[in-house]
Amino acid sequence: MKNSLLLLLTLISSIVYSQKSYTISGTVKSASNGEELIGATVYNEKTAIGASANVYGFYSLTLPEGTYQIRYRYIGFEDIVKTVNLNENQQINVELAESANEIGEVQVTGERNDANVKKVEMSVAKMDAKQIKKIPALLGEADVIKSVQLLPGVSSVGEGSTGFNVRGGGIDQNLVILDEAPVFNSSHLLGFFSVFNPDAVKNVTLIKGGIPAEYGGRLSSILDVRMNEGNSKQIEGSGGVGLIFSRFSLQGPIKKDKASFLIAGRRSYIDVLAKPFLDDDLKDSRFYFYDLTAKLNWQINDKNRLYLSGFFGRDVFGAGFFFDWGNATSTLRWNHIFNDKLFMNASAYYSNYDYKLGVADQDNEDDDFQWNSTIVNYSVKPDFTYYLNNKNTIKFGGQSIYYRFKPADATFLSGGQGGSLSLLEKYALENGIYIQNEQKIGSRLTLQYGIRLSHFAQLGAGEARFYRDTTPGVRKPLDRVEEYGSNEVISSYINPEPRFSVNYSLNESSSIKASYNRMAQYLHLISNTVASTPVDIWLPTNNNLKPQLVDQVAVGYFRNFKKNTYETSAEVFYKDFQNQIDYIDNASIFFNEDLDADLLSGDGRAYGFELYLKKVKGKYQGFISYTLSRSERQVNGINRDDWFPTRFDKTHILNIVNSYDLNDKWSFSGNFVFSTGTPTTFPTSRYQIQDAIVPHNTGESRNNFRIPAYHRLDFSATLNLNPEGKKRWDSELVFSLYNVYARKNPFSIFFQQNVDNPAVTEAIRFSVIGSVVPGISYNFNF
Amino acid sequence: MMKFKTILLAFLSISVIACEDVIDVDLDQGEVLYVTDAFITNESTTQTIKLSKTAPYFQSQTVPPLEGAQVTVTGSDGTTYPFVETAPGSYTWTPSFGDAMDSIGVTYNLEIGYNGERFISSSVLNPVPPIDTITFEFEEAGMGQDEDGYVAEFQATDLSNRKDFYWIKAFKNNRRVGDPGSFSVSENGAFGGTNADGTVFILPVRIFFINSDTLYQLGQSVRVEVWSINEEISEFFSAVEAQTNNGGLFAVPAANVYGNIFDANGEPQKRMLGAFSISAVSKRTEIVRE
Repeated sequence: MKNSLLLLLTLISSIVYSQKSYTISGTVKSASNGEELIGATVYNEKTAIGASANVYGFYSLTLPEGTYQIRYRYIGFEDIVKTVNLNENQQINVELAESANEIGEVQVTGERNDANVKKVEMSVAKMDAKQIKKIPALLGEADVIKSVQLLPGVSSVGEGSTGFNVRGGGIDQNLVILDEAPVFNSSHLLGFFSVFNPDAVKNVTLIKGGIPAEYGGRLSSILDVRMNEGNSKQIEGSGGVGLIFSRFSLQGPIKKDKASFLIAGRRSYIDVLAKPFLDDDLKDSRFYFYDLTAKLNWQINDKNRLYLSGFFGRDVFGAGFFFDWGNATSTLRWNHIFNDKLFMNASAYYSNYDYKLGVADQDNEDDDFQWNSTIVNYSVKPDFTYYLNNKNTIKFGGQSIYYRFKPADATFLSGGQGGSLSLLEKYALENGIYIQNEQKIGSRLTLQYGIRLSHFAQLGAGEARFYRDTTPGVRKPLDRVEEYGSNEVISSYINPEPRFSVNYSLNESSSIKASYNRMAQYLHLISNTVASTPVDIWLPTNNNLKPQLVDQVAVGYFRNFKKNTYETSAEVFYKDFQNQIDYIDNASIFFNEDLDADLLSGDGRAYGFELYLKKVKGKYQGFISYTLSRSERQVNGINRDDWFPTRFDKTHILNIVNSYDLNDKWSFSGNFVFSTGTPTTFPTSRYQIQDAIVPHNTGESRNNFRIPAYHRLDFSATLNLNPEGKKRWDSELVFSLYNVYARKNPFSIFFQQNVDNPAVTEAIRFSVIGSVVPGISYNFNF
Repeated sequence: MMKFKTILLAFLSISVIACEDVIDVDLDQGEVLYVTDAFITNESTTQTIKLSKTAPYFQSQTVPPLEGAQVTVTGSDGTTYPFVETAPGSYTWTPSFGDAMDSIGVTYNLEIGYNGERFISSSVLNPVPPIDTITFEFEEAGMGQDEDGYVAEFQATDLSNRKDFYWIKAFKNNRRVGDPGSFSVSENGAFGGTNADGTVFILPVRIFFINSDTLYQLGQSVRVEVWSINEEISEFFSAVEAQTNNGGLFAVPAANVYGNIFDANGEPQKRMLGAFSISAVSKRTEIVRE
């Protein structure tokens, strides 16, 4: 630890510069809608000195005194070249115009086209809304999370499972942030759709390794979802009508070039369509989801900009009973340019996730049952970027998050008599500070090194429950309970998290990158089921539950071919996990104040090899991703203390994604996915208790079998109804076929007594989608 | 909570294009373990304890009996009840007229001798409240139901000032209602941990615990039984149910279930599977009528 701090200081102090220099800074935006162009490059060819715009479109470039040709570039946009006579610091804001579309070709836009080779970041994948919309999806509905799952190193246990797994990590190890605010449950309808409305999403970045110091709080990945800022030039609307839900979004200027808004909503309507077919007693049935995304942004002046964004989504099921859950987040961000070298983004957010379930019978006022659970957090997060010089960009900042957990709160009324049960609310404070420098050494070497210091305190009012040690795998007996007053620290942890990445350019089109990161995670998703459910609870680290830690090293080779038409990368990684949560057999998870007594802690390891080949230009585009990996756990008390594969371990994962623009009317896409079956536990024996036949595994083994492999083929065809682009009303029809050859991919195999003959026991293959699913949707834009 | 969740998930699953089919799977062979199935009551009728052995999972023939064991139950009041093997693996005690294991609050100890090994267990006879009423309400056939019929609801009030666990069973024309792998268990007439002590059994217990997918029809007999059980048996049932109904999206990792039968010398490796329980039982039967 001490060593890495020392290293950091040495490196920073080694930064020396002599000549008289000035700085050009400003923002790069799109001329058509005013959106910031994240990653746009600002470059002087003669000196080969350049910079790129950050996520807020801000850039800063320092050059010695003189006259320069500065080229502003963003893929899919026309370059702008400005001649700058640099004898003082200057602010230059530019707007780039979109380049004329080649006929029928969907233009992919983005940062410089050799970014994957040139940038220090590795294990990172970016997708913008256009790319996401090109991937065939269930019922023709483009989906952010489903698209991310096609990337190398990313998987899920199957259809209907919420969340995703990154490089052998659990689904709770991904920090999913929407405009900086964390989203605790990113799925609608149990994972079939994600909560992000593609019409409101600007771009998505997944970071699975070499995680920069500005991020913390989760072990395995950061999924950073950025919403559109809202068109500041003109009113723009878009939407779609599909089989499951409809979408609409509207954005436009409040004051041209100064302030704009975005509002986007979706609602499913299975319930509306089904209504006429339901019996009287099901007339009150409700099953739908909706989400609403809104954003305001206000350019106060050249130095200050404010963003206010909000998200609200909910799933509702009900028929005599009710069950609903959802996220709400709101973020206020302030971009402030202190001077041409120092940029600040300060965010404050509020995030809430809750679920409710119970019975609701209007005719019966004497009987009632309700259960709810909430997790609320408030955070402030200042982040600074200091463009020290052309060789060094320093980022520093911090974050403070206050959490309030209400794990379970139940009330009931029975025959007019009432009662309630609540688990104690829990409070916690998580703090982090970081500093990081990105340093170019010569023309070939780029380093990024930094450290994050995270601190977590479990706060009162509350209690600390202590348990005695026992045989691992058996419920621990309660030893004593200690009470704590309001805001008293019950337990606290501190973790230094060093981060390091290096990029060595072999030549113009290839590079080698390596990275190391340590991450600490203080929140734990308590879920013992195959697929996570909306009722799973998040718990903070406490006196028993230790913070999860991971150390990851990754090495990769990046190479582009044919003038960056093809991007390829090969990476290997190794992850060493500590304090991974598991459960004793038959653990009791709900309404259990002694839950800690049922939890086990173990180690994990994951390692793998990832290949990525992507064609990013031309009529035919697509990518192939292949992952060979292993994810394992060792927990005393499980599997006779031996290592076992995790539930989401998949040896091989192959995804092939293709799209082809035939002409200005038709475009087609298809994808094929294959993955090894996930491990599961099969019984060896059976015995009878009363009428029940109970399965038993005499080897006490965990995950001793694998279910059959998963593979699926999907197609979609898009018909552009406005091929000439003459009308303002752009529209298209998307036809899709999901699971073309109707494979019954098993989600799980389980064992049960035959319904008609209970003496017979049988193995059942459970497929969430057992047939081909056709879909059609109509999308428009004006 | 289990029951409520099951209903919920059943509902959710129909909104999805899910499918289930039977497949062939090759399983490993396990070693043979001994099993006790001993659920006796305070009633003055023949009490049966079944001893058996584990079988390969797909062996669907009759359960292999454990023959030639010595089985006795002894009350903490000193009374001994010898059980005699009357059929292979089936050990019974038939009370003489008026006799029963019915001393509330007494601990009953089970002792099993087999092949030189000794296994022990114990269970406390807890009291049980009476079932006050069973009523029926007409309901039209809903989703997945073939015909209209009646939903039954029973009323009972939890015993005050004690933590009670009840096993609730329903019989339609003397046939057990519900899935054989399910055990409807309630704490204080409510769900685990709620401070429902002394209250009327809560609504989901009164209805969900005694109805199945098929509605009751006029003229059928409906018998509801409430058995008092020990907390460890309640946990045992929940654990068994978690393993026998462990399908779908929300399956938990398969886990072995161990009950309350232990090796007399305290060797953990030698314990027997299954459980021993003594219950006080209250019953009520009604004929379905308008």
